Amino acid sequence: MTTAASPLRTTLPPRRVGLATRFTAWTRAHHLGAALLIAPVLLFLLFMLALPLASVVEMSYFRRGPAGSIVRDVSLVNYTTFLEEPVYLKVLVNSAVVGALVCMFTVALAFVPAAALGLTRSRFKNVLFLLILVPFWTSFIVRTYAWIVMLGTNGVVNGALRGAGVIDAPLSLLYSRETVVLGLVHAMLPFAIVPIYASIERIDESVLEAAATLGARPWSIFAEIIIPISLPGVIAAAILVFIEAMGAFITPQLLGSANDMMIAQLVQERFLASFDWPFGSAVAVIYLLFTGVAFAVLLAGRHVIARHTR
Amino acid sequence: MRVFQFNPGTRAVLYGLTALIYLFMFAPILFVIYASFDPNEIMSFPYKGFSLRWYREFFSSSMLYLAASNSVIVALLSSLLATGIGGLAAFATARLAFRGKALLQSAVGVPMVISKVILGVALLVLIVDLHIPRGFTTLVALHALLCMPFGYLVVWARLVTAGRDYEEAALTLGANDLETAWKVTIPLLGAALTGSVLLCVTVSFDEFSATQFLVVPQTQTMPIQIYSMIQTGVTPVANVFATVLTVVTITIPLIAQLAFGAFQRAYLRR
Repeated sequence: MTTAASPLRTTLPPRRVGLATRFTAWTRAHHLGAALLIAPVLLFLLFMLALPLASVVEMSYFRRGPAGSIVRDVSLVNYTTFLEEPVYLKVLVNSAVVGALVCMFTVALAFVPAAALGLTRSRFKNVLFLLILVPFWTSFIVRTYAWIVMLGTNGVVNGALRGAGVIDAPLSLLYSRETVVLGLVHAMLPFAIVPIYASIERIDESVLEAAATLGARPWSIFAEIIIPISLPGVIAAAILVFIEAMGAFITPQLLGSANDMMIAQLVQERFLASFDWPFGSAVAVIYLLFTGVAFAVLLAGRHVIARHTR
Repeated sequence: MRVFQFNPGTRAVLYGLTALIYLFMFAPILFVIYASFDPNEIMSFPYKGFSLRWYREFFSSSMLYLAASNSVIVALLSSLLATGIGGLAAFATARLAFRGKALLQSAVGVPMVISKVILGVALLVLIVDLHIPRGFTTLVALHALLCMPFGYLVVWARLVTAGRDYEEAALTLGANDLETAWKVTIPLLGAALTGSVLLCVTVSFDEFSATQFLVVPQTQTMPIQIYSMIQTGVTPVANVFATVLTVVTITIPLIAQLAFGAFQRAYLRR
């Protein structure tokens, strides 16, 4: 801009321009605002996410030497070991199966309170919704530990059954795949209830009223209106729960048996117990690829369903 | 518009099942609280007696205070860092147009969908490669990574719903960008920024899976300690630890929310 020719310049004293104004004018002129604002997050993601994951990929090509040392010879030996040993493939399959089971049960169970909260006009609605949020604030380890208190040999369930005279010897309820699924369903429920509730809450009540007036039974109101309309929330919840459950560590570690190891446990075991970092890294890379593929498939499924229901 | 209601039978089934699911959600933790008052060394349900014996033992352990102060320090620092970094990114994506915005939005969510074990392992491999020692700095950075998506989402949601009228008014009246940010945007985001810090504190306070790879004995946090306590099964002190942790993690957000509400009302009345 050429303002030198302006007559005002000679008649008025120049306005004092602060450093901040000059700086922001400069950022605007060069379109630097966005760059300055996202620079911290980009640097942070680069150093905390991209570089660490890259170094895991690098580590996965090395080999374990004597006493947990690392031999820096590049090979695919860790990957071939993983794919050739049925033990490791079983871990991957077990993670996917647990993820799928937890996903199914959690979404089915979460739908009930989500529907009740979404459709109720009770004045306790806010309190009941707040209760759903309480587990978010409660320690995950504590919530998992609570199942040991419930299901242990001297636990609540065995004690109650013995007291009622149903059993003489305590049942063995812990340390199985079923217990892991139970613990994860319990842990994931609030995460599933919130998105499903949000989509049911939005349903126009006059649609439900119209259906009821025209003679629809409650079951068909659920099957033909509430479930289809809440499908986006249900699918969002399902994807979230599946991904979280598949990568779970605390629950299978505390409630599962050694025979039903999950993938995060295998990685942790290689890093902190047997000190085979290269193999642990290869498992981590395989997990990332597997989750990436699962995520892509689930998202694609969501698109197909969204197009189908429109 | 008429109010829709299911017939009484359907409602009874729906609310009955809901009550059962609430029971399923809360019964286990209530039994832990109940068990924490049992004075016996070997606990067996139904619990007998009431005593604070294990509470005395718990509060006299010196490890507790180290772990508690570590947890608080790491949670506060990482939450402020995560809210700052996430908040700036949220402002950029909510208010400005730039190339690669969609990509950035997905990248910010990545730490939420990757297993925490993998994130912890990855950072461990990197810092060992770079000969960086494990300490508070690396722990704070790790927790900031895990919290940042939450900070981003909370601030972004507020910016999108708040609209940009106030900011445009300030700019029209001659304020520069920094003045607008300081005097309009940040006060407008007050509740969101507090909410973000609170949410991040609860995430960091609870984090175990990634933390286990980066702690050393001097930096161990409360989840690390409770985990090592319960690995072998049920112990009386673990019940107390679990009870205290539950009460603290539920009351802190409640108190903070109430305090912030009171502060905001007083501020607005002035």
